[in-house]
Amino acid sequence: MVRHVGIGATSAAVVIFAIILASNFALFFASQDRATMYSRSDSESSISDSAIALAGVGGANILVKEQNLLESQVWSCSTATQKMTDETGSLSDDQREGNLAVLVSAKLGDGGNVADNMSLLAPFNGSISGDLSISLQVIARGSDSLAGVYFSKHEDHLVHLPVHLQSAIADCLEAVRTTTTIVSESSVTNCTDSTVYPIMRASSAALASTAQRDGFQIALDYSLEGGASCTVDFEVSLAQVGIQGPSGPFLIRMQEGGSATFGSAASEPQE
Amino acid sequence: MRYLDIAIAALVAMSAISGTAVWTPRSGDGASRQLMLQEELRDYVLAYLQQRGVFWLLQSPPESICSELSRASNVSVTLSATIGPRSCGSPPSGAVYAAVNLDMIPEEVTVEAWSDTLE
Repeated sequence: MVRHVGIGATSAAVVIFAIILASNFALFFASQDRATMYSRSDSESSISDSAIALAGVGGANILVKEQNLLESQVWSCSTATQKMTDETGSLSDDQREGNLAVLVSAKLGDGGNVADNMSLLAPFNGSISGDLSISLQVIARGSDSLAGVYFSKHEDHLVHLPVHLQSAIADCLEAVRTTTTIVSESSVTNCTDSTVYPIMRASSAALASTAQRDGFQIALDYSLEGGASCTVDFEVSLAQVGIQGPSGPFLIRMQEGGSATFGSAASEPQE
Repeated sequence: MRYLDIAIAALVAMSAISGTAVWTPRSGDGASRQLMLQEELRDYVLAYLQQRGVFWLLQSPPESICSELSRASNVSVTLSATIGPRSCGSPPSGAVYAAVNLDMIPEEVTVEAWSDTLE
């Protein structure tokens, strides 16, 4: 009888512990599944977050490169738009983190007032009418093969720099036309600097007031060619200073030359 | 024979207890929780950067960045940064840690967050 009780107790213990163990197994595997699910979700969220950060950094680097490009040279007023379109179009930034790659490439935008949600690039996100607009193309690809996550994203964003390019070009070319007109419509008795200087100074003052109204600084330099026809070669220099750029304040300079003869028809601006 | 029964019962009990201890669901829960906290911290850093933008990191001196991040920290989350070779601070051992690396021109900046109390 005692032996039967012993076997019964042992069997009961085996059954009870087996049930406890089986329950524990079930909970364990459920928690493993949950951990895998969290891991997958975490991986998806992490890749998506990283893509946002890398795209933001790529965009920031493009803006810094654009600022470096703008302040690196004196732009010709007549060719600035095309040259800037070409050079901005060659800007790109490649960001990598683990298996995630984000390529950001730039081109000049169309302008206008357009909002953009790339808030990492504030205050340069979006496009503002009159400012230099840049369109960013973002291509992100990544994967986490362990978690079975594959990521691909293609987005377009607009950013801007507070450079009044079109306005500067217009003022610069207008200054060349105005100077050419003033010179060609003025007569000088003799072709000396003392005769020509007051005319050029008056022209320069007229240009300065127009430029200042638009927020630019302008200067007019000239040299007399002399001769019987009294021709003057001049150069209009225009600058937008104190531009608050992504890596600090900077300026953009533009220049255009011209040539005109006193008392004659206007001549074409030099290329 | 009685001793044999007791030995078998003890063996079964020991095996079951060991199995329960080894395959405890708590280990999986701990890993899940760790991942979840890291994700929360990464989100926190990204949300802060989205609110503040990234250009102040380029335009401010390191000490100014450190003090601003310190002001943006709270009881649960400490924000910090490594700007080039300069670090604002390092997390205490055992803290949950996450970082967002910004490979910017001209300097790499890592914005970090850690917590040892985040629930």
